[in-house]
Amino acid sequence: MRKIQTYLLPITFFCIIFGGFVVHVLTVDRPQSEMENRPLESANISPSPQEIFSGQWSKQVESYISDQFPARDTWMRDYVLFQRAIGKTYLNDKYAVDDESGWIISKPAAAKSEEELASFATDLQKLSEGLAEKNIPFTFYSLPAKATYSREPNPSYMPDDAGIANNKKLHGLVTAAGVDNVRLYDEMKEDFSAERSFFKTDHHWTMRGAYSGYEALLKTISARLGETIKPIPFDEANTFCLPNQFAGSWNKILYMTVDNNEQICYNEPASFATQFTIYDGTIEEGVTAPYEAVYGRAKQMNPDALVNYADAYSRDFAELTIVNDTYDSDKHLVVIKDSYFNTIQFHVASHFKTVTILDLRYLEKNVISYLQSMQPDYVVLAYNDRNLKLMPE
Amino acid sequence: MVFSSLIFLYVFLPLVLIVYFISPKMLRNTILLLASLFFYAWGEPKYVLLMMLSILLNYVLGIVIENTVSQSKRKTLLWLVIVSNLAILGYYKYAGFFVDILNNYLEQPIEWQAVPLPIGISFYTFQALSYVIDVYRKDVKAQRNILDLSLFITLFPQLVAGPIVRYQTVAEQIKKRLSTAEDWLIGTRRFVQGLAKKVLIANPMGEVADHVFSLSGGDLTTGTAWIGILAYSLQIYFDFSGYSDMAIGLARIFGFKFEENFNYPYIAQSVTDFWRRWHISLSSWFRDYVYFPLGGSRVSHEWKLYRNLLIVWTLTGFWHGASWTFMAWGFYYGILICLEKWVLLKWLERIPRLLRHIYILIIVMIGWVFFRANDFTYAFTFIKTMFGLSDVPLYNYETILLAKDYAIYLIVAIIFAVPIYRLYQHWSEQKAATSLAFDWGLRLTQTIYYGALLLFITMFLVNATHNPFIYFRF
Repeated sequence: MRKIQTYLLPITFFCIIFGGFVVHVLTVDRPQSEMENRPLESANISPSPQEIFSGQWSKQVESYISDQFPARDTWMRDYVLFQRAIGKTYLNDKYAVDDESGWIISKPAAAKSEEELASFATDLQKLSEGLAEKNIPFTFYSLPAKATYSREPNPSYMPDDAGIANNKKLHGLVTAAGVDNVRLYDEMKEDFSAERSFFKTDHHWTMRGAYSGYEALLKTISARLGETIKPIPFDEANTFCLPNQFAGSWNKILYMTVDNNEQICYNEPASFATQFTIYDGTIEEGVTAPYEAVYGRAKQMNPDALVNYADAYSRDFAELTIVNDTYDSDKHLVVIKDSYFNTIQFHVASHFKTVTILDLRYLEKNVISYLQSMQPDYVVLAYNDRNLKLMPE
Repeated sequence: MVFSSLIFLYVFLPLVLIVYFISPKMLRNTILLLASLFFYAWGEPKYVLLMMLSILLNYVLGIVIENTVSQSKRKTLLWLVIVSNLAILGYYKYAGFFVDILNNYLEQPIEWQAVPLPIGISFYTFQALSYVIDVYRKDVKAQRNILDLSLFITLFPQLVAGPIVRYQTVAEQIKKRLSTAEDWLIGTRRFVQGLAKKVLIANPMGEVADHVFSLSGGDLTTGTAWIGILAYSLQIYFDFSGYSDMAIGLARIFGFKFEENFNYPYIAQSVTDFWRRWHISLSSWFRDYVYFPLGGSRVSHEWKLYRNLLIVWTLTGFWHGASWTFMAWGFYYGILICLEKWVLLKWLERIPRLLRHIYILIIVMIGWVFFRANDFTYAFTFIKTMFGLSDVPLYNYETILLAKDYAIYLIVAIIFAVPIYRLYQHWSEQKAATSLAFDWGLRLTQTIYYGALLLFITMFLVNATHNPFIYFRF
């Protein structure tokens, strides 16, 4: 059977596997995956004997081959398209896509255990009591998250998402623990619209949704401080949008396979560009940062570039101190936050003399003793309602 | 290293193929041996030494047994080699299990630090044992070249998950073999088929099975339990037979011809038939090296036949792992095979073929519940749920979601679990042998089909989140 056609398949097979090897060797390694939002494994070409004999090095090499595989993003994207083609309900076991509207919806979350909720409530109680020792008032805010309130379209047979129930239960536990708390949705609900408040393809709120949150937040803070601080009215004249294509976080997980016409929009008075002195860290450390480098960096990006939420509004700083020249209140406010707050951090800061913004994912300090030493007038912890840990995920 | 990994497919395999085929024939066995040791050391650097110790032990004792004239001494030496091999296997695989049992009865518990199980130890130990027993029986001559014996035991296609290759099968091939274009074609095709079985069917089925078996008894529904066990039945078949296909295909590319390990077990019509089709190399190993020496079916009293069957099948279960559930699984098949030998086979022959298929599928699926469950309590809860004997709903959203999302995989799996594709392959190959035009068309089509399949598999591998081989842990 030694006929030329017999060689076709073995040769093709070999060309594919050997070709893959050659392309891999010739391709320059990527340090970071934009879509997966994580660093990619790099080659460890000089492993120690211990790394080799423990099997650690072989695992590293396997991760390296997988991470740096030629055209990795294309393979990943094709896999998502394949899942969509066969009608998988939750792509990558996480998100449902409505092709007509372009909305990406998360898989319904299950009810959280009592222990998990109680653990977070206990952490908040400890924080509150630690601050009370120094007479620093504290309030816990939960901000409405997209995964909790943007639930349509959801397959009819699927159960309801447990986000709202989890959130209400948590607030019950926090109240029972004697911690002041605000469910921000309750303050926003009269004017709340999930469609308007959240990005279709990202897990954050839009500028419009965030603005409603800012108004509700400020109303409750000023009431607690006993001051009359009026939010900056939403003014269409202050609104402008970027021409760039938006890389929503959930769309990135789905390798940008969901078409959308979403835009990054801002609503900020012109005075924001000049009224703040911003410190990347504490005032004492003295490292200042220009407003444009902290907020809305995407404005300086090429109009063809993909823009994600962090570039659009603000990346997460471990500690940011904003000193305001034209304030309504001379108070020093500390906000412990997750990425939801980034959209409105300067809106809130515009009312106070000093605002310190802490992100516990990056802050390498004991937060209670640090706040005790800082002696602010008021501390707010503002997390989206899917975050049920003091150290957000 | 795992066959279904990017590093194997796109780094190890092409490099080994190049080095092997450009080398002179006299060096090829050495290259394969080095590649095999590297393949094993990749995941288990420390245990390469253990494997080499096992090879040395069997090499030396094989020669000593052959050179010993006295039958009683030969027998003593054989027992020495059996005990030594089983002691190594027992230390790594079973010691913890027996220590746990002993500790239930001892006032002063024995302290035991669990040791990780060297990958493939059950396979290569059985392979080495078959070699020495065959030398003892004078079925084969002891191998004087340690490199050749090492290659027999370590040959990377079958090293970590079988099939359990007999020395008799490959002794001649190790010395002299031809690797023709036809071998490459058949080997490549078989390898890609196995890879597709593993990556495109077994892994998605594994996702379903893992999810369902992670649910507590209270969260199961009857529908979910059936989907879960159906998925696991398909997962374990496509996982293991896929691995065997890859092993047989790879070996064929290098000129080795291994025995088949699976023959569409889910089309069996009795338990006896099922075990002639499932993990054939293990069942025939136990038949030749345990069942026959015990007397097999040529016994003075009928009860001894059933005793022999129960011993063999309990040992088969125990071979899979040190746990009561594996033993129960083996014993379960022992009982069923005894029943079939006694009376059931005669009854089965009288009922319609379809009912015989339903009988075996239900028997096998119940068996897989014990195989997959972590303990008896869960296994019994699961089986009760399957048959509507638990106070749980018939279905819930999870049942619908799993059925909807994995229906396509289930359908494809069921199609490939019956020999439709094999029939087509036989037909097409026969036709190609008589028509050059058809042969060209077939080869071109196969090239496009298998090439595209390989790329499709690559897409799954790049996205791989679920890739373990079930039989690696045995």
